[in-house]
Amino acid sequence: MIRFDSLPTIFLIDFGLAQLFRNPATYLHIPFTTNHPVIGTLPFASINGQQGNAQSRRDDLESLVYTIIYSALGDLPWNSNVIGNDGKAILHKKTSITAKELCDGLPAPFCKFVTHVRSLDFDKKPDYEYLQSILSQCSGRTADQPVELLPLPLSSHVSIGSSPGSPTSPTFTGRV
Amino acid sequence: MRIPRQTAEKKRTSPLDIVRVDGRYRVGKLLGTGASGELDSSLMTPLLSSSGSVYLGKDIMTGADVALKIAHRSSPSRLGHEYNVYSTIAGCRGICQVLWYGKEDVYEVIVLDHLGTSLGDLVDRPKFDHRKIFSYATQMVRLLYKTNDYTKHTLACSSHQSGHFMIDTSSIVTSNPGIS
Repeated sequence: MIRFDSLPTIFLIDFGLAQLFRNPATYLHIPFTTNHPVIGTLPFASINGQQGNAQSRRDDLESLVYTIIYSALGDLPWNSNVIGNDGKAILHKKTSITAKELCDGLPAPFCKFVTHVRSLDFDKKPDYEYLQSILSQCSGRTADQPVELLPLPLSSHVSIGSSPGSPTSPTFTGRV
Repeated sequence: MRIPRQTAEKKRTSPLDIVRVDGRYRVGKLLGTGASGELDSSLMTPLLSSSGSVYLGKDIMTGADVALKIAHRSSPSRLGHEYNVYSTIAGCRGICQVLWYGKEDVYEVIVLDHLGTSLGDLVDRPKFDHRKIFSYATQMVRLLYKTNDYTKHTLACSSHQSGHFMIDTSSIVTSNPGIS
């Protein structure tokens, strides 16, 4: 096993759809508007985005929540054969699922992350430091601790592919 | 009766027909496409994206791999907008460098650093420890913070997903040069 001093750098790409959410000079936030085209990849789109509303910082974080869940569990609750690619059904599932249900199988503190993101108003600045501190609790390490990356020991392998909603899928133990 | 005139010039059908971009970057295989309607109706199909396909390329002067994002000039493309965004947030850790942007033949091209694997591909690997995602996620939040709120940057990235986070595998063994 190779140990590395730090985590690899993560890059964010594809800014073709990025847009200004406030005036760079005055910092005046864009107004809330509706009837926008739905953009992005449906399972990861925020509820607002899917409803055709203007998007802001909170939508970035909501998509991040879905990305984290998908990455951690290998699936999203609305990725099923029953729902398929039906936008309305996906939206209904997204709006009806509770934060607790959404975080099933994930470290317990992550529920606070979802709750914070869901509580944000359109023009509200997210508390990024708070969100990062939650993630540190979830990973059970501080940012400066060394972490091994590749290859991984088999003992730490987590089985995936089972339904995230299944009570018999103890994917994470979670360290609080 | 008027006979339609045949176009004398043979229409190019693929960016692979380009000999080199800017005389320097050779176009290789297709890595992925973000254009709406080109993929099947699977769940992962973007509904509307920045239109453009990403090709692997090679810098013939240095031998380094690059990524080429290419869109046909006849189709409405957001590559110019994307180039402006990259220019605005250049220098942040986790934002890749634009090596070249311009027009080549009938295409509009952005040449970017070639990164490692995407987060989406990484988590699909059978041996990936899925708890690692929370370590990575701290960086992902920081990236959003930087693009959203860092000094004059005021961008909402809009519907990113696991394929939009790239893991720079080269940075595993070397420290990252030229970043904050």
